Amino acid sequence: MLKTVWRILSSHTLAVWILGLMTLAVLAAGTLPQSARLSPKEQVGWDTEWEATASWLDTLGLSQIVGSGWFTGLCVVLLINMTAGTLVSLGRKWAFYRGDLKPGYELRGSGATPAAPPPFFTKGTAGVGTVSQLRGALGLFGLPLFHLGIAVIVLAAFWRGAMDFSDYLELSVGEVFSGQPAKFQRRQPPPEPFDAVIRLDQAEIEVRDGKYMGEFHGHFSYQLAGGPVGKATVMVNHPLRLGDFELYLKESFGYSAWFERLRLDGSSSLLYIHFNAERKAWEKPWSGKKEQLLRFDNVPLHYSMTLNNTQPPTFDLKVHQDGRAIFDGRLQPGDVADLGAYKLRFQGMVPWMTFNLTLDRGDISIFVGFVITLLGFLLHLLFWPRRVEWTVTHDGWVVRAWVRQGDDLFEKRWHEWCRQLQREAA
Amino acid sequence: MSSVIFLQWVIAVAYLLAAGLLAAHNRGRQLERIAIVLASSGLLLHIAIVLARGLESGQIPIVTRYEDFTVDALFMASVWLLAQWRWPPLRSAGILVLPFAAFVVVVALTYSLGIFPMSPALRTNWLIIHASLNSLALGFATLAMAAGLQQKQDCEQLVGRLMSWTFLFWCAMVAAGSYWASIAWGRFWGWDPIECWSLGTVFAYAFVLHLRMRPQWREGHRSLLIGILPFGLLMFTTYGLVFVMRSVHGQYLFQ
Repeated sequence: MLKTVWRILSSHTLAVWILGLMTLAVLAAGTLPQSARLSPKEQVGWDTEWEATASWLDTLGLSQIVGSGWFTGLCVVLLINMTAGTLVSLGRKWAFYRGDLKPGYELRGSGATPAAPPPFFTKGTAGVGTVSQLRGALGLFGLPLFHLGIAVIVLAAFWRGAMDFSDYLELSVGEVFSGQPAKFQRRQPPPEPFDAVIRLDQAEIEVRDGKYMGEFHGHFSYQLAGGPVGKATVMVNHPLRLGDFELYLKESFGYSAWFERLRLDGSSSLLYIHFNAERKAWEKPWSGKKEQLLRFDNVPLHYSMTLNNTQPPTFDLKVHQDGRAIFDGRLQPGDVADLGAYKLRFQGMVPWMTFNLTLDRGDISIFVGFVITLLGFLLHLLFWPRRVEWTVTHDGWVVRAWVRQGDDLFEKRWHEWCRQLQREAA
Repeated sequence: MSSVIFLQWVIAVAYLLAAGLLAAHNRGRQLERIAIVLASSGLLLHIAIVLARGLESGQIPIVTRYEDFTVDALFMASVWLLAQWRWPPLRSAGILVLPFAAFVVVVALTYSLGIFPMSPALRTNWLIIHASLNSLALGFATLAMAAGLQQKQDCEQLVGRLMSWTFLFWCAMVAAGSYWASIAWGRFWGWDPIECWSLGTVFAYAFVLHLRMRPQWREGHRSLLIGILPFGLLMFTTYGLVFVMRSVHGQYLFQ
């Protein structure tokens, strides 16, 4: 029973089936609408417009293929099959190394040993006895290494998936961030504390011809775990490491209206309201509109806002509370809007940029897996293991060779050598 | 600009003529030699055009669709020229590879020849590594497909080897892209449509290479069938997918 299970798990047939199914599964994941990829709005649209199809895909587990039980099952079976198959093949490779397998090529002769040595054999034979030569032994390790690399990638991906944290945040120039959950798009705190304080000092955003990005940098001041204050520039492809976290710059930006919010008790805090600006509108006369329900100090107020990129910038604000207008006016820098529960002092307009904050967990093991995989396959392609054994006895000789399946170069040389021997004999 | 169009047509005609001479080489070995010389001349001109484009734009010329197609065709012709020199049985595959390269060179001209600045995400050496590996994989895949279509006995093992090299370069391309994504976007994998299809192509090649370990899948219609499958996926992933699926890669590439 155990033998049968082992034979099935390590079988080449199972590998072919699993690879075929994985191909289909991954292509389906790249083609069908996947809930992890759709925005909430798109998800609602898909569920309502394609109700029957969406429900079928849900039932079949095709609306979230990656992460589904059956996909994970396929990965696990692939991992087991690869490990078992590699163990079996390692046994065969060891036998190859020792010459314990049935040879792929064999030629016997009587009388004197031929003058021309067999292909890929340089040691020569001095007299009676056996001399063997193994070349390209590194090629024996190629596929086992390749499969080891795949196993490392799959295991690291599972491990990383369980520990992963990544979320987007928008920061305006002058804004300070110290891990406030409200700043994250998903409003969820990271699994471990963000032990740093960062401030976006300057946003360098250059748009050429209204379309193309020129310089694009975010200049930061940062302080790690109460240590000294440092300065750093974050660019696309050049993240900022902050302890276990990393901060990545996204190619998304806009203008932000900047306020000081004055509470009735005399305290104050900063408020940034972000407006999306298209590239063609960057550093040109522009107006951005926005409607939003903002809740501060448990007071919900409905804001209708227009930010105008004029010199100086202006901010048109209409505020309603329970359907009743409580403010309607245009603010210039320094102007104050009294909203009853608090006051807003308009300070001006600054750029904002989007960042991705991630918790680095195990990426390096993924890339180690990639390197092992590629190195293993390269060894497999570059090194061809060829074991040639020449035995001389008192009444003749025998040459045996063990080579990898599909070694056409050896086959060609072997046949040439055989023909040469025939010519010499003739 | 018009001189570029003219030269690109010259390259296409050189490749087509070389393919024609290869097809007629049974009438004399001299024709085969002329075909190689013609294809090599076309390739030199091709290299010159790509270098000139790089110098003119001041950046690596693999940013626009025009540049991408032109460089891919260059790799297709180069891989064939080098491979036929190392493995003479592959020479006849030029009958298919060279017209395909000529076709890609002409298709490139249907896109804008304008020079566009690179977006910040593309300003890294990883673009060169990632795109070169992609083009190399395309070159090997095209040659493997062409050699497979000819169904010649002496090419049977070589087709397998070429598919293995395609697999290696494609895997390396995916790995390089993954590393690049990790430093640009903070994630090494995002199951984006292009990432899914690239991984699907990896699995398809692994599937076919495993199947080819069985003799019955290395010859005849079966070998042809399993050769077309991963090649088709690779081509569609590289050229077709961004037109039919919304992908994060689409917003960075191919103006």
